[in-house]
Amino acid sequence: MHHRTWAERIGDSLNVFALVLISLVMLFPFVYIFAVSFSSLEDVLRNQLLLWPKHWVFDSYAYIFASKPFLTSLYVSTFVTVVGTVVNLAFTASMAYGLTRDIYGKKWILLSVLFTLIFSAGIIPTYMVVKETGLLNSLWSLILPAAINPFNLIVMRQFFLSIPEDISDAALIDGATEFQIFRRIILPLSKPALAAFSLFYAVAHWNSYFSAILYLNDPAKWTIQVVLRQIVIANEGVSALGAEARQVMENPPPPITIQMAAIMIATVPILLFYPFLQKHFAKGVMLGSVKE
Amino acid sequence: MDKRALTAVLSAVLAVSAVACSSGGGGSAKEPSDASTNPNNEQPAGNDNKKYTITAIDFLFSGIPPKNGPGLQMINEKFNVDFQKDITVYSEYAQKLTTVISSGNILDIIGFETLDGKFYKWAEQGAFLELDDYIKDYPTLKMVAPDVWEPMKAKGKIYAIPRYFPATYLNSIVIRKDWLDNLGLAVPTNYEELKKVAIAFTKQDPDRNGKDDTYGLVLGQNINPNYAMGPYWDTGSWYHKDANGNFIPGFISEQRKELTQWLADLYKEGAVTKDFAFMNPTQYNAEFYSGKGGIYLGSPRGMNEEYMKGLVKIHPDAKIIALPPFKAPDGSQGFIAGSGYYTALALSAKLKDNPDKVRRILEMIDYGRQFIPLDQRNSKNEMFDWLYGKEGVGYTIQDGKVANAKPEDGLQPIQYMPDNKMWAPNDIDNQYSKTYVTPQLVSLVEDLEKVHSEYKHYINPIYQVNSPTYFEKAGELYNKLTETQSKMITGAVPISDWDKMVDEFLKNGGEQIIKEVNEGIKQKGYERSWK
Repeated sequence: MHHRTWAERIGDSLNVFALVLISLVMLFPFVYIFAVSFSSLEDVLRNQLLLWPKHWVFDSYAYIFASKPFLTSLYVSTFVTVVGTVVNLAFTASMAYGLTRDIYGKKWILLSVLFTLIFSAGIIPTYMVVKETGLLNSLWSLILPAAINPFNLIVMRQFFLSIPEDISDAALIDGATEFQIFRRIILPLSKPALAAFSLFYAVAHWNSYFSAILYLNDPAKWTIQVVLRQIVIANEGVSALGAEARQVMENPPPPITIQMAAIMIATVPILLFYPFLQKHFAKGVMLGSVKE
Repeated sequence: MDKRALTAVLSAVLAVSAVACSSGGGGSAKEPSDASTNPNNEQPAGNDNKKYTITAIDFLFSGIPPKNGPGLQMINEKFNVDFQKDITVYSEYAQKLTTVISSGNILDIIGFETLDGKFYKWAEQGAFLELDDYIKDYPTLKMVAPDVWEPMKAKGKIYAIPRYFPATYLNSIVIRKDWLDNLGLAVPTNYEELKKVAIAFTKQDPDRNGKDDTYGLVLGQNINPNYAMGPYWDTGSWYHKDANGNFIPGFISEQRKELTQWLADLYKEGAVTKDFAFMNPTQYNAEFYSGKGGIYLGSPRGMNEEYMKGLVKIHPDAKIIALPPFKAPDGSQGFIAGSGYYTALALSAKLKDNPDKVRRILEMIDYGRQFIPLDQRNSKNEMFDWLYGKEGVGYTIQDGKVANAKPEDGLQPIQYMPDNKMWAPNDIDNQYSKTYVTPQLVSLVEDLEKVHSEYKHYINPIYQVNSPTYFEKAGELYNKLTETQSKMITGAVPISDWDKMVDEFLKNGGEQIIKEVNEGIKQKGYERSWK
């Protein structure tokens, strides 16, 4: 057992101290948002900085939960996140596994995947593709076009390659089909990677904002981020040229307490993902990056 | 690098790239391609009992109604159309509009927030319908003044219909009269007096509460309000001329330099909002309405009852009045006029072969623009009652004022109408003061209406000309000027750097902008004019 020297103890304490300080700095905005969301508007206006509610007030949350558009968007975002992540995992995993086997054209497929990693089509061509495939104004426009993230695909493939071939060979000899091997051997062994990627995909779906605005023109189909944007940043358009926009605010933005409550409700669900998947996450992130 | 470091770096890269917001790729706006696909069901020109399918795209700041609300059904019924309106959130509208139009999908009715380079470029490329011949047939279009049609033109033809915005009711400065009275001060009529008042508000406890918690000028990010008491001192007005007789933007004028020095002096005395450069509108608005700052902005249109009620709770004796414009050294005295419109609608050029459909669309637009005097905005006026969704359903009358149903229920046709802003014959006809309830707000707005009617307004030539470089670069250049001038106010940058700032502006495109704007001004034969 390695006994820590005096110098090492000091070094460790300094590290801990610095890390705690940095964490507090990062937590600080969130504490502020939390505090303001549970305070009354008067308290907020009277105090320069509020880090803990002076009086606990739930009006802001009541207002948000009574708002139909907000609740609808929560439902939409949940749907897109859950279904989208399942679609993502199914497609990414199967394509990644397929590319670990010797198939015709494997090199070209891999090259084209790599190509999309570096180059992106851009907004307008992507919009045209979505339009021509009839996905405009459908929630599937948020799920299908981005079904496979090339980076995730490549990493997952690396991960599959790191599973010893002997296991699948043995299964082959026993008469298993490729699909059975995939389903019964590879996938169960890949739980860490799958957990990690599901987290990445889920966060990306939960954050859908621009695609939702671009492809969906039915307010009932908007995601939570779009609605949140309307609530929180309702007083934009502040440039020297667009100065008049400021003057046209017929509906002033909701008070800051409601804005903060909206932020809390839009952020907390996805935050809760992390602790549950954390053990898989820590393991999964590093897997596949180094070939044994 | 050893294995551990490699995995650490790769995992960091993976985590960072995956957890960052997903974006839709970094495309840039391209020129509109040849519109080959025609998404509309074009009906052949024929009788007027045809049911037309009309598509539209536009934006709203907030309160976006559902896609097929009852209000929309009422429109379809009344005008015999299938009206499909895509209402987008304001914040990404510019991007979305560019994408939609560039993909060849030119809808029948297209909303623009500002008529900028994109609008003129597309108009010149033939994306929109010429409207000149139709205007005489629609009363609300005939009411638009010639100088407001100017910005709608490209190559001399009209391509857009302006939406109403009072031409003369821009923001102007308002001041706490109760504080002036408490300190025995007269209403300031020039900058020396205003300076004294601002310092007095800061140091002499005008709200008489024994606490040192008040100050003079409320100021926020982007130097808003800019405290120009007339076009002579304004930033965005093209009022002054340079040595060659060319109009220049107020931002780089000597007069603005003097005003910047004035603001810097007051800032040093603590009479200006501290940290103003970081305050967003919500925050600096609160400075005034929480009773801290005594001088701020107001306008007859768009004032907020809740804010005023909040102020009255803190200072029950608050009385706010409008500050009339100062007399400038050149003898001018007046406010700055706006462009006379905010947002505009263009029609697709593809409608050229379907004049009956165009007339149906213009009928809908014209209907929404009809001016209904304030005292007729109730169920007795059939048009008003229909537009607002019928009394008891889309709206109710409370205390003599209209209370609308929740926007997300979509009960009111006016939420969906292509143009829903009444075109008032004159700004005063809006009678804004009568639309408010809080007494202090009513008296303030009455005062504002009075000063606006007593003083003339400067027509800013920048709205009349089309300078491509202006649309392309002015936003950025103006922002840079504002940034530097903000620093001059706080003292971070010395005012002696003014000339350097102006040179940078000129070098980075300002010179070209001035050249183009003045060409346009000469072409239209414009001289300094007021209305």
